[in-house]
Formats: sequence, structure tokens, C-alpha cells
Amino acid sequence: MTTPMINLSLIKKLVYKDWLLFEKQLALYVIGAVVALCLMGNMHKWTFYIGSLLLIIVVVAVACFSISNSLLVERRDRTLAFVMSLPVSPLDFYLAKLTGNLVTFLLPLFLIAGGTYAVILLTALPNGLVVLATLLFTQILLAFCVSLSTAMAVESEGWNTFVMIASMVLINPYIMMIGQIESIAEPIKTEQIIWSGSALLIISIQLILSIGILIGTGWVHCRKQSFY
Amino acid sequence: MERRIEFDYLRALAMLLGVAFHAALAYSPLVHDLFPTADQQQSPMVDAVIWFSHLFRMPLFFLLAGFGAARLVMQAGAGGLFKNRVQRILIPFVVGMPIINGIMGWLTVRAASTVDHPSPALIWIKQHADDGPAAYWLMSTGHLWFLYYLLIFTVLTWAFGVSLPKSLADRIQAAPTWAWRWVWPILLVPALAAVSAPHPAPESPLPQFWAVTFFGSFYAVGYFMAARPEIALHVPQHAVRWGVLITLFYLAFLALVEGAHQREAGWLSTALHWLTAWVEACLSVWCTALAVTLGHRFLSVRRPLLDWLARASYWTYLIHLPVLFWIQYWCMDLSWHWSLKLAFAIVGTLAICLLSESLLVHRTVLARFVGGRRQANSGAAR
Repeated sequence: MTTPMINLSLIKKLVYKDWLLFEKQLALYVIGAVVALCLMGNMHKWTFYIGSLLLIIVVVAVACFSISNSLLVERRDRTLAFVMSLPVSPLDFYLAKLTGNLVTFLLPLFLIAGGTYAVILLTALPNGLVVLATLLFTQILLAFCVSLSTAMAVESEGWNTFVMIASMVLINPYIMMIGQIESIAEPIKTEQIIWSGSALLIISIQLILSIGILIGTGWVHCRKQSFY
Repeated sequence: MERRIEFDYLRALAMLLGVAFHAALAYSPLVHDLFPTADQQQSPMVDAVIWFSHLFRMPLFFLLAGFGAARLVMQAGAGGLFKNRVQRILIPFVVGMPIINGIMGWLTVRAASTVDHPSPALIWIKQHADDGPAAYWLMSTGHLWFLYYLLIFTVLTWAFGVSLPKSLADRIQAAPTWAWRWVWPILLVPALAAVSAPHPAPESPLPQFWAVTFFGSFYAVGYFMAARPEIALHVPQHAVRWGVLITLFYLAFLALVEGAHQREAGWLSTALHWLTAWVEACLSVWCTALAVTLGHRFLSVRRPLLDWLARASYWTYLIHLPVLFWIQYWCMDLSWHWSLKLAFAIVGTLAICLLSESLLVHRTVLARFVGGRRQANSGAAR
């Protein structure tokens, strides 16, 4: 039995290609995120609301565009056929897409999360909101991982669009759901950051699911002898 | 690419002017109730001088920073710019801010309980000592706010560089000189109208819209100036005329600022506030252009003294405020004339800062991060 070799230099080139294709859109999202943070820092209720809404839109848009650009558009434009002609295994392809998407998504996500925590901790907003923000970001991460894995495993553009929209739109009922959990909803109005058992359980499940979905997709790709 | 030493010298002079500005705030009637080192003695003359420098000192600095960024991008690309900014701005900011703010917080809390003639700000701090006034210094970017904004502008340099259509960038760059002189200040009015006049330092850890717009526009103009220097170098033909105009506008600005305290809220007050913002914007743009022009005319020749000051200016600016506060808290109970105290504070601060640069920074590993610019055409030095 032979161990599949990972072609690192080709993975780097594929990641770089995706980066070049996504760079312009990412730049616009970064500008959007700066505007959102400025709005949030303006200390008016209505600017804070618009700023935080814009921030969520930016994060969700980054997630969707990153996946769409690197996987769905590639298939539609038949660039994938060219990629398949390169000395690249399904695992290389998977790793390149995973790395590229994680970089283009996680980097802005961490920056935006950092900005959000700064807004909460350094302004008059109750510090308890840190827990809510974390719950929101881990949910967005989970939605991203589900969409990314679907895009890598399923060819249908329709199904991919459905999963992408559904996973992101579910954030809304998710926020409502955690608002019903007393041990989470009550402390977020106070200055204390209280990590209740329910909050920690939800975050743990989201993180385990996110990593599990990515590992599962990787395992499937590792076993593949051909792309499809 | 030819090194523009006049810009190195201008940047150094702007930073050193900052030391004098912060020292003079202790004797300013305008900020007497707000500044921790405010002395018992004040002079309206101080206000008349320092607020003039305040209108163009930091705009000039950001304009030069934008110019430097453009040259770095031309030489080493956006990657080179990021690498340089991480080394020269991000690391000094992240390491320096908590240390400097911590020292300033400690000095201020200590002064609040030891000074016999405390300022209104120190009295307030003493009364609220239990609320943790030192925490304010830890949550503020302090006088290092400009590093924070430079980091934001570095990210935006990449973002706009990638997303701004080249045709639009070319059209902005090709705008006639009169537009830079007259239209640009009008565009700055909403930003300046959003804050009090003279504009405050944006020390909040969150980016402020007005500061991003106001200082960002100078950074952008500096960036465009790298390809088209005449944007800011068009004053010399009419230097006298511009000098008279600036003087008149500044007198009007002082009158408007002075009158703002007595005005009652209403439409007239709002209209005058916007007028003040326009006058302030005009002065910032014109004085910055004049400073660049004068620098180009008089500082283009290498001078050893200016070389030395340029080398030490970054370090000096980073550490000057705790040193200055230490000296000024000590001076508060002295019966010297304010001008003597001011001179003593400036000379003492500069002496300590310049000496420490020679001992701790020059020829040490710190020089890579906060040292002077290397000679010749080193990319990392810009």
C-alpha cells in the first residue's frame, strides 16, 4: 500500500490562484468592515445597530463569496477541468480549497471578532454581550463549514445555493433561540461575562461539528481515486 | 528611487513640534479644565500659537506617511508595505502602548495625590480614584493614536489599491490644482463638523469616522503625490498671497472658537459651527501644502543636525509624553513664570529622549523597529 504524497507547491499555487480571484471582493469587504466598525464606534444607538448589522452582512458575504468563487464558479467556468489536468490528487485539491477558504474566511472573521470584542469591552455596552458575540461567531463558523463541505462534496449548484442560504439565514432563529435560554439571555445585559453551562455546551457542539464536518469531507476526499 | 530627504526632515520636525505642542497644552486656557498637567498659569498667547500648529502638524504627518506608503508599494508591492508596517508600526504600537499608557496612568494617579496645586483634571482623578482612573489610560491609544490610524490606512491602502478602478484613480490624480486647494477642504467639512474645534485627538480604541475621513484624505493625497508632486507643491508662486489668506483665516478661526463658548444652541450656532469646520479644513489643507512647499525649498540639502533629529524623532515621539508629564507634574508647584516652565519642560524632555535614543536605540536591535531611517534607498527605512 502506498501513502499518497501531498504536492505542497501545487497546493500553494492553487491557493494563490483562489486568492487572486477573490482579492478584489475581499478588499471591498474589508472596506465595509472598517465602515461598520466606525459606525459602531460612533456611540449612537442607531449607528451601533447599523454598524453591527453591516458587520454580520460582511462576515456572511465573505463566507458565501469565498466558497462561491473558489468552488462553484470554478465548476461553471470549467476551470476545474484544467485543474484536473494538473498533477494533483483529490486530496491535494481538497487541501488547497480548504486552506484557501479558511484563510479568506477566518482572517476577516478573526479581525471582525476582535473589533466586535473591542467595541463591547471598551464602550458603555454591557460586557456580557461578549458571550452572545462568541455564540454568533461560532454559529457563522459552523454555517461556513457546512457550506464549504457541501460545495466540495456536491456538484449541484442549486443544492449548494440552498445550503449556503439556509445555513446563513438560520442565524436569525438561532439568535432568537439563544435569547430564550435564561442562563444566556439574562447575563448578557450585565457587566459580568458569565460563561454559563448552556453557552459553553452550544459553543462546544458548534466547534466539534465544524471540525468534524471538515475532517469528514477530507476523509471522503482522501479515499477518492478520481475527482468524481 | 531617489530618497526625498526633505520629507524625512519635515516628518522629524512635525514630530518634534508635537513635543512642544503637548508641553504647551499645560498653559493653554482652552484645555485648562481637561489636560492633566494644566498649570495654575495660563496665557492666551499659547493658544494662539499652538492651535495654529495643531491644524497642520498631524495632517502633514499623514500626508508624508501616504507618500512613503506609495513609494514602498512602487518598490516592493503591497507585501513590502505590510512587512514594513508590521515591523515599524504594529510591533512598536502593540508593545509600546500598554507600557507607555501604564506609566502615564501611574504618574497621573501619583500626581493627583502629591501635587499641591493640582489641575482640574487631577482633582477629578483624585475624587474618582476608586473608579480606576488609570484604566482610562489603558483603554485609550493615547498619543500613539496616529500609529493605530496608520495601521488602518495601511489596510485601506491595499483594499483601495485592489478595488479602486485605475481610471478613477487617474482622474482623482489628474484633478486640477485649484480643486485640491478649494474642493478638498469642502469635502472635509462634514468630518470636522462632527467634532469640536479645534479637532480633538482620536484616542478611542475604535476607529472614528471623522478621523478616518479627515486624516485618511491627507494620507490619500500623499499617496497620489508620489506620482504627481505638484498636488501639494503649487503654493510658491503665490506664497505671499497664501500667507495673507492663511493669517486672515486663522484670525477668523480663533474668533469663531472663542465665540463658540458663549453661543446659545440654535440655527445660528449650528451655522457658525459648520463655518468653523470649513475654515479649519481650509487652514489644514493650505498650511500642510505650504509646509510641504517650504520643506521642498529649504530642506532639500542634507544637514547633519537634521539627520540626527530625523534619526531620533520616532523614538522621541513615542516616549516623550510620559517624560513630559513627569517633568510637568514636578513643575506644577514651582513658582516660575509659565514661559520658563515651558522651556524647561521642552528642553528636559528632548534631552532625555534624545539621550535615550543614543544609548538604547541607535546601533541596537531596537533601531530596526523605532530607529531612524537608513540612508540611501532602503525600502525598510521608509
